[in-house]
Amino acid sequence: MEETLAHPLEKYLRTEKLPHMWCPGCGIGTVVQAFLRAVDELKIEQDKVVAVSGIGCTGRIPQYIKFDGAHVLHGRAIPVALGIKLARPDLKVVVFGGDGDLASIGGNHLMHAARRNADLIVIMVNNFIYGLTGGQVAPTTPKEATTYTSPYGPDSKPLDAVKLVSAAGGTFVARWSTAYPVLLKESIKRAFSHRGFSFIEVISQCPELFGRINNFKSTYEIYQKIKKVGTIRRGISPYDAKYDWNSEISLGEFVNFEAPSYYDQLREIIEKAKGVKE
Amino acid sequence: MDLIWTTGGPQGSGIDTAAHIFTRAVAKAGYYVYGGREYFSNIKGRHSYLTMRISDTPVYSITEKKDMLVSYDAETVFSHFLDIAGSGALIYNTDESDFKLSSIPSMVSPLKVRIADSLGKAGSDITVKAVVEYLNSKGITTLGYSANDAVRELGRRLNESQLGKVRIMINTMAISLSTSILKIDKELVLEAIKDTFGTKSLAENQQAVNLSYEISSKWAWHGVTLNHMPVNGHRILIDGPMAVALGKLAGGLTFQSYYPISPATDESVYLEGHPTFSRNHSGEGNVVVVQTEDEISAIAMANGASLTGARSSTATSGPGFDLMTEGIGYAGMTEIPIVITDYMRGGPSTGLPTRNAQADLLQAVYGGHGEFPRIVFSSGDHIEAFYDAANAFNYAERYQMPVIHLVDKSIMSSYAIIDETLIDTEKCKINRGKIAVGKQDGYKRFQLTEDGVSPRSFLGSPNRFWLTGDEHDERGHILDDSVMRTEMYVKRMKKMELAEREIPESEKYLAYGSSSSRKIIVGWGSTKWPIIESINRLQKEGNEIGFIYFKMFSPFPKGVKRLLEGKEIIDIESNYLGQLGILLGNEISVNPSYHALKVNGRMVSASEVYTAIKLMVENGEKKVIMNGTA
Repeated sequence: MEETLAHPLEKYLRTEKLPHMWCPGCGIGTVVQAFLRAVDELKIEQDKVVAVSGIGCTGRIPQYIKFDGAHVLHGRAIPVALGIKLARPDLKVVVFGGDGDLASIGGNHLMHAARRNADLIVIMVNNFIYGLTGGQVAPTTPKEATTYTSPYGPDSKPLDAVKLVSAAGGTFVARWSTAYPVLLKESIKRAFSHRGFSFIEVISQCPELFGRINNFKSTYEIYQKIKKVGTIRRGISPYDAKYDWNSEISLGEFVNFEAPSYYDQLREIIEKAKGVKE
Repeated sequence: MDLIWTTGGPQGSGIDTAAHIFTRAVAKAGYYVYGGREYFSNIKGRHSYLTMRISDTPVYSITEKKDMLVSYDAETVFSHFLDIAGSGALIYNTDESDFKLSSIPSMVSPLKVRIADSLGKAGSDITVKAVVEYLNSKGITTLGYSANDAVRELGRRLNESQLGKVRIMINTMAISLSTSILKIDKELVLEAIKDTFGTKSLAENQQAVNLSYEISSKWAWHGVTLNHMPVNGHRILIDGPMAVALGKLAGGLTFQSYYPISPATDESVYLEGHPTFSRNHSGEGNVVVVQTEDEISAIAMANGASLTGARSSTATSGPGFDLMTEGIGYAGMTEIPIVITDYMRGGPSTGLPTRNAQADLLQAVYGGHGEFPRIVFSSGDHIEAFYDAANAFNYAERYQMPVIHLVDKSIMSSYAIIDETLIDTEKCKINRGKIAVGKQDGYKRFQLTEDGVSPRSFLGSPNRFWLTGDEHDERGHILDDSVMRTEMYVKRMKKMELAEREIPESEKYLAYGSSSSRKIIVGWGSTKWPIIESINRLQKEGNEIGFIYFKMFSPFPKGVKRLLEGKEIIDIESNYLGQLGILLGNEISVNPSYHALKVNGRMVSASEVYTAIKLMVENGEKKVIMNGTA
């Protein structure tokens, strides 16, 4: 009888949905693995996690991981997640999204969730491009890069989501890359224990749509580029962190401090309101 | 007994509060009141006015001719004197007698031209004095007082040298002049003031009321007076957003997200303002109310909360309703129970932000890409709005679909004095629909069933599931298999057939008046009471006419066809296209022959509906545009 070895993380996977839809060499798998390892190591109850995502390649994560989940409209993962969290504060609500989903069409929600210090973990996989729609320029695309809709380069400079979220009020802001899966996993673990808004950007490779057109001939080549451009900087301010395709994309935890989370602030209001006579 | 009383003044000057005091005082004297508020999209300064109808029986509409116009500024006089009834009265401030029409910058010039034309003085300037003379020539009573003298005298009596502090009571004084000649007991006015402000400044207000009663004692008024009548039971003053908010609370609302927009905001303000309004007296309210960053987020958040089992809703108005379209479609696709209250205002675009319209009907029924099941229904008065707001959650959860509750701005910004027993929370039953209780092996959130409804489970419950806005299989997984696509599509749409079968006819439409008349009127929302009142009046004159009042538009009550087939249909609505008429044609192949339509943004009055019906029935006019500004 042939013996098959179960994957150590199999209990977290909807194996009936495999094979997954991601391209060979895609960085999203690394992010999924880092996330599942974090959950496993922290021994978080599987029924207490809800994964919410919008549209795009990253948006498909909740389909493959065995938690309650919602795959919602393009850009709307954060408000749906916050609705879930407010109605069930005992749940751990995690948002997965790409750079287009969270920083472009969902940008307003990202900004305001950070401002509120909403009790959410947001993991943004940044591959510099719109993947699922076929390789269009994204707000994160470096000036030096080419896409199908910006054959002469993007019309404007990219958005650094780390600075945006920090400035808006996020209390845990980090950036890692697929080249550092263990550090990413550790950071996700810290996000789970952080009270308030946790934002983790993961610089990731899209060999098919971003790699090819930018002359990276293989997954290996673009992975090497991501490895090289990502520089770990400990203890620097998010405003000193670099987002520069030519020289450096700074990695690390740039913000991590305690402040009343959205839930805490609502509880404060409830206490105040209790004193009010109808 | 029927009296129309109007007051006006600059927005933000306390005119609303003064009208509240008047309404409460009249209610305490034993009368019912229904009042509409008209205002500009402005916080302070522009002319706003309130029209109150006072009656010894419950009323839910207003008429145009004013029996009493109470003013203290020239703009109010100019804006409304043409609507004073022949037997009516104007109370005005003589300090502004020489004010010219041309000197009022806030009045729009087309209105100025219309006023001059009406007086036969086209091209020339008009003063308040000229208006008073004109009214006198028509036999209308004009009652003048000097606001400056009154303020000085009040200052003297209160020992207050800073007259600015006294002047803020001018509204109270002006309305007291009218309660005085209507023979309402001074004590009732003071009680009403106490209800409104508490005991703060009660002594000062008492002096103000006394002075008004002294001033008006010299006036000769031979018109109607409000003799005190016994009040049976308790009566309450209610407005539209309050009725809807209370209905939602009675219906078990636990989550409301919204983005500020006129005129829907008041509902969420009411909910925010009553944070300890609970069912279990815990001192903690039942509802999380969240102001979001935009309407897209408001509907998304409400959807998220609903997925955990919270009864959730949002309230918005035209432009916000547009933005919510994607979230409503998502709820349709993923079978999320959600309630959207749309306060209909004048569109398109920003349109008339503070004025009435019934022009969102087709959007509510057909809006959004693709096809999805939904309930669309509306309310015709405050009491209906209360029960409908509560019942909306039952529709949403029983059929697992978005429910769009349409309410007209003109009802929502109106006040009504009603018998408290008419708002009975005991009558609001909660039906949560099919729910998967406990852990179920092989749970399928979108299980194909006979009636299309699958047992619902909640995020964070033992039945683990996920869902997607993509087409999916029974477990909720993304799937674009052609066979499953059809099965899942049909399953969703079948729920509409279930709703059509199950929801009683009485929740879909009601028939009033004669069922045998050759002509029959159709209408919905805020035209309900103006039409009922008109057909009652016509009946007294010997003209029998029927009226089908529509409440539900999706699923469309096809059973109504037997009442409309072979009739000549008169469609009365506040829109340009005759949207209910279009639905009748689409759904049951009957088409209106006559239309009375209104797009000027003002409330539809009973008197203009009556006139319009006469024009259609007696003169055979096919299309009447109503232009009243009651």
